[in-house]
Amino acid sequence: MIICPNCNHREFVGALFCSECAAKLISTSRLSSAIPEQVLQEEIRNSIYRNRRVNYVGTGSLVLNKTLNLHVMDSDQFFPLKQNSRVILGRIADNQSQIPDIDLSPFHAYAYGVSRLHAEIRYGDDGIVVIDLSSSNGTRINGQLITPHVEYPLTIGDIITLGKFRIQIVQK
Amino acid sequence: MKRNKYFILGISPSDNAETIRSAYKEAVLRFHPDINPAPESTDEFLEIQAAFEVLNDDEKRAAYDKEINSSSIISPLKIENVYSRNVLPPLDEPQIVYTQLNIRCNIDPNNVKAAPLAISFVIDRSTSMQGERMDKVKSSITSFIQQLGKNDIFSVVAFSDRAEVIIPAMRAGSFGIDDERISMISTKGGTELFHGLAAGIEQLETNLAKDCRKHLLLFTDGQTYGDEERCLELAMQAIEKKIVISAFGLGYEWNDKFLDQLSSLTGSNAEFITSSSDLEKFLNEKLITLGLFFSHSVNFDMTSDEGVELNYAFRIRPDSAELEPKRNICLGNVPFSEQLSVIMEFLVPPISGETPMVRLAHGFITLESPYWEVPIRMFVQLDCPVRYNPEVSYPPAEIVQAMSQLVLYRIQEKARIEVDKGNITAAFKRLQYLASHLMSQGNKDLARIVLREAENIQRNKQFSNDGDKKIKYGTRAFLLPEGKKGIVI
Repeated sequence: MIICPNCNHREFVGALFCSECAAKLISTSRLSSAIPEQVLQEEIRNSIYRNRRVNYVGTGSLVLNKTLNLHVMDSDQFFPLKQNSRVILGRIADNQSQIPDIDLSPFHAYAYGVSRLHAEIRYGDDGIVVIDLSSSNGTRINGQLITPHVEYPLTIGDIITLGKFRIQIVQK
Repeated sequence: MKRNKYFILGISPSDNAETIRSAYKEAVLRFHPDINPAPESTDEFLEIQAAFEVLNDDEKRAAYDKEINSSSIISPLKIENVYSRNVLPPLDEPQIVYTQLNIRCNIDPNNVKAAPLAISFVIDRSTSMQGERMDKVKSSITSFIQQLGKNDIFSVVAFSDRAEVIIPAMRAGSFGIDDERISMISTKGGTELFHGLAAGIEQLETNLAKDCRKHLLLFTDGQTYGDEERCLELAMQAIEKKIVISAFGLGYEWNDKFLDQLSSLTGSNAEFITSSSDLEKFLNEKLITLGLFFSHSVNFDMTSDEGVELNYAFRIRPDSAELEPKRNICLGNVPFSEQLSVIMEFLVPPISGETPMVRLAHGFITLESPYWEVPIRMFVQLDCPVRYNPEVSYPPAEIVQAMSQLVLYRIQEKARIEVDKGNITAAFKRLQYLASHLMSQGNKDLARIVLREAENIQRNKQFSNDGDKKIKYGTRAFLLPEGKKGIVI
């Protein structure tokens, strides 16, 4: 099941829209792969939305025309997400053919159980989704384990857990 | 016309051996004498058997292709499927997949001669129709008849507690301008639809209407009481008699759920007429569309893998109507100029990594057309391969577009159920969602109506008189392409 980020209704995997509130549950815009720069900014940290759905306008779709950041929780590290891009989260290890766009190994990712290619985040015009890439220890959204290879819609403030590694979607 | 071996199996010369075998398998399921004891089906089965023996053998097939010059064969229809996802990941939980089935006609309407129309007008004459409503129905019907071809057949039936045949089936060409039988229809009594429908259908079965394209147009403003089941049975019989039933609901008291169900069974739909002046507009549209159909009552009879369920089916072209999600559905009509499109939602059970393919539906589209001498059968397979797909895939824009509007129709349905159950808070919230989506999709007028209704149900715990129908038919019309959205309320 996937959970509607707008109204928390549970929908079957593969649903395109939430049957309760009509929010779009998938990303449909063309994305390019982008390697984000690492930034550390006080102003971003101060702008973390602790509260879910702060940025909703009630249409069931996110207002996402601002820069989003992935905040590595319990650290000062932010990775900006560009719109219409997709990034793979993981860690770089020896003898790896495909390397992730964001390497989490400086944050003890191995100890936290992050796989080399753990999850992908897609940020389109119409929303942001996460896909677990068959990671060993799984991916959770706000504590709930997600099924690999299926898009799960996200919203600002959501906490993604890769193994035990926590990342939050924040808005600048 | 002798059917060629491809048409017998419902396939085309370009299909591969695997498709031929799948089609044969489905045909056996329907026509094998052990399964279907009807004598006609045995003959059909023998033909299918003979066709398969030739087409399943590469050498024989090549020889046959040469003999019939297979590249010159044109199938009367072109069928294509679009899926929301091209591959399904193996999952240990259920998932859904949407398909859009598009059926197009390959025949040029300029090269064929149309069979005449046979139209039966069935008019509710109950007391509530009295006055402007009845006057408008009478004048619209009269002008409709005058626009018919002179060989077209029509009949007029009026019903209240019982039915009266006002004008028995006759040629439109013989209808005199001074004929006062329609204008003399008086109003009296209640509404019992069954008698009216039965009399209307009877008028379409007269010898005069033989080989015509048969339509029953129903005009009513009230609810029929207690005979819904019998009416639906009549509609089932109408399908077999190739009669299409369309309904026009006047005012707000008629039972839209029932009339939608009744007309949808026969491949048409019910229209909501808010004001009497709209009636003529709707009827004119109807007259145009009646002339433009290659075939009515296109049927899809399918089987699926075990556990796969058809959750929902909705026709989005050429008109919009909810279809009953069953194994043998009447999809609707195929016009010459436009496609027939149906969106289907399938629920797929948990699938393991060893499953190579999920069969959503295999089956035959069957139809008869006044422009094609033999019944048409076409094999359709809706399959989804199973594997992890590392590539980014996007659902096709046409499905996303259709679903973004269909989801709004489904939300208003939920809101109606909630109001019926007295769950006002939930309905209020849902209508607000609906309004904001309509607003963001550019339908401001309907959004305002929805917001007004949201306030109304909060105050009065129920929809205003025609509020629920306005929202239902408004969101339904919203599904149609620009320029065809009909009358904006």
